[in-house]
Amino acid sequence: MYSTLTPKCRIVESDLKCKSGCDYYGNAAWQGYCSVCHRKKQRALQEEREREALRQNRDSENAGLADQKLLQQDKNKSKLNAFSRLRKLPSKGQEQKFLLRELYNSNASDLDKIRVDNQDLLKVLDTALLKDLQRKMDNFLIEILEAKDRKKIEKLSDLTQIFYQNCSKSLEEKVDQREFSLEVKERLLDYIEKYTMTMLYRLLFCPPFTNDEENDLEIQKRIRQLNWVSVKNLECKIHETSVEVRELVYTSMMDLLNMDAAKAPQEKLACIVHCCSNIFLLLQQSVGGPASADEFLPALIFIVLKANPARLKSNINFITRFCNASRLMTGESGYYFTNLCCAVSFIENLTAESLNMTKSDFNAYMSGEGVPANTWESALMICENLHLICEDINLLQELKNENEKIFVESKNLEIDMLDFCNKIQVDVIDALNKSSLKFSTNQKVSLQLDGDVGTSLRMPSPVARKMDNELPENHVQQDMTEPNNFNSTLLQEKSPCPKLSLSDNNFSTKPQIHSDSGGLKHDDFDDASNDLMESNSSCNSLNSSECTNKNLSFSSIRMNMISEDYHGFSVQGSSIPTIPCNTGDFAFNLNVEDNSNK
Amino acid sequence: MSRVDIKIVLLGHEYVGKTSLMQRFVNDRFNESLSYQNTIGSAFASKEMQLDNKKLVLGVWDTAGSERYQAMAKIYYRGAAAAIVCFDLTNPESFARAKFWMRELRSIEENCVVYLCGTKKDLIDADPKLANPQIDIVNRYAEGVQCKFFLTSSKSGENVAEVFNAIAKDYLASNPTNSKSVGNFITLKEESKQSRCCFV
Repeated sequence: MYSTLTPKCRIVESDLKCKSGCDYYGNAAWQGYCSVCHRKKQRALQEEREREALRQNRDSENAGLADQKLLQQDKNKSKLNAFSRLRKLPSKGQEQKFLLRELYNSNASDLDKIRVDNQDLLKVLDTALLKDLQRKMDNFLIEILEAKDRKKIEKLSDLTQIFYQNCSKSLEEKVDQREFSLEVKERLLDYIEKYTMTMLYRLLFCPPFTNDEENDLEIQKRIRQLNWVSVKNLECKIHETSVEVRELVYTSMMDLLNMDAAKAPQEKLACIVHCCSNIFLLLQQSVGGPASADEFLPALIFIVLKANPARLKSNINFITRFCNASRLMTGESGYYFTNLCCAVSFIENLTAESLNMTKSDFNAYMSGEGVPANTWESALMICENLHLICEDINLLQELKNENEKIFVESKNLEIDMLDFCNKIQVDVIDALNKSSLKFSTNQKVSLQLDGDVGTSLRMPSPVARKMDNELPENHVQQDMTEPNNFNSTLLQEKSPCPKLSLSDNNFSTKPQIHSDSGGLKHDDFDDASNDLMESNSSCNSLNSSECTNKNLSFSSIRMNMISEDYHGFSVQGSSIPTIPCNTGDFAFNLNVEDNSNK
Repeated sequence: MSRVDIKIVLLGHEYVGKTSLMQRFVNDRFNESLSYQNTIGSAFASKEMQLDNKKLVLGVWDTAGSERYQAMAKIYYRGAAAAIVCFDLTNPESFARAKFWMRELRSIEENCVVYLCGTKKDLIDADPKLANPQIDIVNRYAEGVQCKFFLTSSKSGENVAEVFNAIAKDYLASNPTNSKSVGNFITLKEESKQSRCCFV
């Protein structure tokens, strides 16, 4: 039966890998293969065994007794194998625990949420009970993890239902002992179910060893084929033209679509309940009274057809298999769920007769050849536009009302303001009448202020005053003489330069010195002189007449620049031109000298 | 938490008054559709009943009567503790349908206790000639298939509570202190031990 692996003391990385060498991790439970290879191997073995059994059966007719003995031996062997499995158990248990931990980790956020949601409940209960519950749940989870490889969804479902009943029973005892109320028990059961199912969702929802997925695709395709089915076909009383009803249709569709996102079965059921209560609401609006099952079922079928929820069959199967059947399936949620199942089964078995139409029409619509005139879509389009127009009209009406309101209010405000103005005026006059004397003194003060302004106007402006003052100009001129001197010295220094090589270095250093010595006030002047020098250097190679022209033009530009830049310091500005003129002269002279030297 | 002890399914032909029967039982009113808005739907209802110091919550499931949904009725009465098969006392066709339901329930859902219910009794009270089929025929049929037969009027409320009372009583009688579920539990527990013994 089970191939006996010789027990190993140490596990190396390579030992953990699948024996077939497919680079996945294998494990002892699968005889060292990974899940895929193990399944392949197992299937091959099974087939072989079946063939063997057939042969044996034929043989056993000849020699029954001998074979029986052999079988006995086989049985003993298998028992032995069971023992050897027992010996291997620690590693096996570890493997399950590892899987369990992995499940915990991958669902940590969801589990935390469930725990937080039930915090008030869990706080009330004593820790021993909670520990017991946790232990039970862990045991159950491990049990499921062990059983999942047997690939029998019914078995898993049974295990789950047994677990629920187990929990329910033990909690009921506690209720009988008056440890907590019935309500707490119900909530605890709810919690247990949510917790375990959220953990196992990945494993139990649409497992690969069932044909859930195929069914999903089938029903999806079927619903897509039936997209032409309209309210009229189903004889359901949905008032499509009403805005509120349409809104509710969409909300109920959304609720149904949300079902796939929920994990725990009762969360999925809650989505269905939401959807159905919305359907009842919209039916109430359409029919004008509480709807009965006769109206409800067609409406639900319609919603399912239009929503075409993802993985519908998988979801339904998951709920049927792993929802606490005894608790939830008899209540309201169970009723709605049953209705959903009915709707799905109706859709699956839908024929021309069930829609009260001829077979040829039905087939034409199903194959997409014909499109019924009054489909939901076409109605929807018209409705959509009408709906938009209605909304726009409503919006305009609202805006108009708002506008009128604003107008009226602004009128009121105007009147208020005028009143206020008048009131203030009256108050002021009153105040004036009451205390005219005081005011007159105040007026004197203001008059003085006015007089002040008058005199100041007559007085020269601060700029004019400066103009009058002779001293600053002298200062400036004194300041200016310094750079002047500097310039001359610099130029004197510079004079050998052209003779040498006219390298750029010489020129680049000079402005620096210049600006340092000249001070900030003469920036413009410096720039101008720099330009001048550069032009000088360039002029060196040119003839002298051009140089002079350039120098002259530069000096004129410089003058302009200075007069432009030094608006405030008109005095200073007027004094500046004299300096560069000199420098220009110097430079010119030098240039001439240079040229002559050359 | 909406806990429900008994699942009761209402079956019957179109327009026999299943919804009215349920409405009368749950809310004690009849056809006042426009005057009340607090209940949005009446396809499912649960009502608590007090019987011999025991609380029972009845969950009543209304079904769509239309013939096109007949095939799905199986899904509805799966796991039901009781079924009320309704027929219109003035409509022979509905009685034929009721017979059909009786047969089907008996063959498929053995644990489900079936109750026959002739509705619209007020019509016959007003004019006995309207009765079709005759009441003694129905009585004989009920005796033949061994099921309880009630004549109800949702309009006046006559006999409606009695139907549900009988269901609750029968349920308690057949399951004293839910012994059935306890028995189930024990056998299942053993099973779970078996499945575990080779691993733990």
